[in-house]
Amino acid sequence: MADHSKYKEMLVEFVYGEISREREEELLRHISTCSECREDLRQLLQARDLASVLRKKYPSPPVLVEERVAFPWAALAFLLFLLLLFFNLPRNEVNKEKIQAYQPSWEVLELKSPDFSLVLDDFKDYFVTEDEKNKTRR
Amino acid sequence: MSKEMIIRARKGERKAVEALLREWQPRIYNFALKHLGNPDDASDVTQQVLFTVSRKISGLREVGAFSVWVFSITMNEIRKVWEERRREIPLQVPSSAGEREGLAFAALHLLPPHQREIILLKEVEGFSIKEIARILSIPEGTVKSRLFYALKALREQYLKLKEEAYGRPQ
Repeated sequence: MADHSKYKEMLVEFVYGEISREREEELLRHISTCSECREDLRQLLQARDLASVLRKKYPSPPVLVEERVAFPWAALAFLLFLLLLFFNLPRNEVNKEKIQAYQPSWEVLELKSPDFSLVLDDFKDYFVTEDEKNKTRR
Repeated sequence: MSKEMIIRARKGERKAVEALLREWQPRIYNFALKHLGNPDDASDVTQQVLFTVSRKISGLREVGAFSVWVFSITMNEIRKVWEERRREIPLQVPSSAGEREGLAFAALHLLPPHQREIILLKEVEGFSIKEIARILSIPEGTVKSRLFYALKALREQYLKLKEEAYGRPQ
């Protein structure tokens, strides 16, 4: 009995034009003798035709990424600076260091979204990790 | 979308990042809308995806895999919404949808999420089997097998709905 699960995969490759010539020849040889796989092919092609109506594009709402609002780090740092002045702490030793610590290294695109929790672990394959960076340096 | 723009965005050029986000916004929105079937959730997902892309593009390793990367993020956000709502998202068929389109949409939404997403990634976004495997972090064989059953299920649901609406064809 033929291994139909193998031919199911090949049918998918075939209907999407992602099949190699060798596999295509094998599939066509099989289909010529297997009515079950011929019926599967007919149904897949019908489904593809149906799915094509899903390609229609719908207008998206007005541009969501319009506003660029940086977090007020500078104001925060300035407030800290004033507080330090008020308490008369040594300016050169403490202020500069603290203000520098609060300087952002990048700008934030504020998107007005209520929750900015990011699950970065899910995309770790796409990023260079610190370990990899260190390895490269070595 | 040019490769050059992605490279510039990766370097942190503000204009390039903004241009990239504007270009991708409709694509992400449409995908989320078709997957979730709800414009409000689609907008939320789009915002979240654009935010993540703008924050993390500097760490993107392969410029050529940008679209795969964006859709990995999109799928992650869609799944979060799906989990939060516990599958109680009401389907809103676009008011402009024609008869066949409306039925196809409804049939798509009767499929389980793993079948729906694979149909959208393949049929609407046109990703290759290999790219879908990367987006969903599953083997290529699983992509093919899921596509096979998802397409058959879509056809079956469509025919059922059509029969309910218009009766059995003579």
